[in-house]
Amino acid sequence: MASSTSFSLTISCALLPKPFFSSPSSSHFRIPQKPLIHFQNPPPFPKIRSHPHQTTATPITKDLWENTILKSETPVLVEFYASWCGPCRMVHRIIDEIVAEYAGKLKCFILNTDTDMQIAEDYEIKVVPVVLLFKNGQKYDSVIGTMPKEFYVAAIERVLKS
Amino acid sequence: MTSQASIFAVAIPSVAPLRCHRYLPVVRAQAEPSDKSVEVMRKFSEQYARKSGTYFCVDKGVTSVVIKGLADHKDTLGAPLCPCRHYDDKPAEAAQGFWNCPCVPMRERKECHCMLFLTPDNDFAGKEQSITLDEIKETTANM
Repeated sequence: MASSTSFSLTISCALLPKPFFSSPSSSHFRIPQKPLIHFQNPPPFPKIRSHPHQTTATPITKDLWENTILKSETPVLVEFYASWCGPCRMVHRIIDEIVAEYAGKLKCFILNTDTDMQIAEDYEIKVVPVVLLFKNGQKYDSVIGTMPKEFYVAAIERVLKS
Repeated sequence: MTSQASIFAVAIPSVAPLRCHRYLPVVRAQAEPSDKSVEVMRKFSEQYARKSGTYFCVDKGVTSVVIKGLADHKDTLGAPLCPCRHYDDKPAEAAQGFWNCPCVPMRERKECHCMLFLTPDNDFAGKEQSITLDEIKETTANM
């Protein structure tokens, strides 16, 4: 059977500022020309550990999406990830820190795009990791790719102040 | 508030890979990739890093997870589709080839958002172009 009808549209970001670690096909984002902060080695990302992943952000699924995300009274952060995405695990660690630092002000969730394909498609997720920020049931901002923690914090502060 | 990319690159579907698509269940438990595929992708990663003048992440856990992800796609799709993207139709993407490792952005511009191959100026680039099977096993044990 001819599977050759499957075209893939890929948006090049040749005209866009060079992202830190984001995909060239991300179509909606605000990313600095250069990383906002240059780090000394070792980087500020906690290393991936060999013990089971113990995120403190709550896993979210399609069934709970409406009530938990869209009807939330506090702003919500959702990290979209894939099972075998290395950089996603770095972002997990940052989100874990953010969970603790913004307790009571921001709810944090993670969504596996391999198992919740419908939500991923609804939000046109092409590249992982992606962090979406929601307020009053609306998507407010997105951070695409692997960014320094400060970048996520700045986006969260904008949501909280809006 | 958001900027839109305006250039579209239409990837031409390649003629060759007309393979039979196995219909995989949508929800699949995360199984370990085969040792054979992990080894193939490990060796490929070392060779391609040297060839392209790129380096593994300073955190080899990232490298290990990605190599296993490529191996998993090689097992399930027959091609090392990038594990750091979301696809509506994985078999179609694997057959089309744009995101098979090394993907087109990597081959053309040395862009690997999966952080497997990092240019030396990248803040997360380590100094190594090799990774052992033991390192992969150690950093991904019990995941």
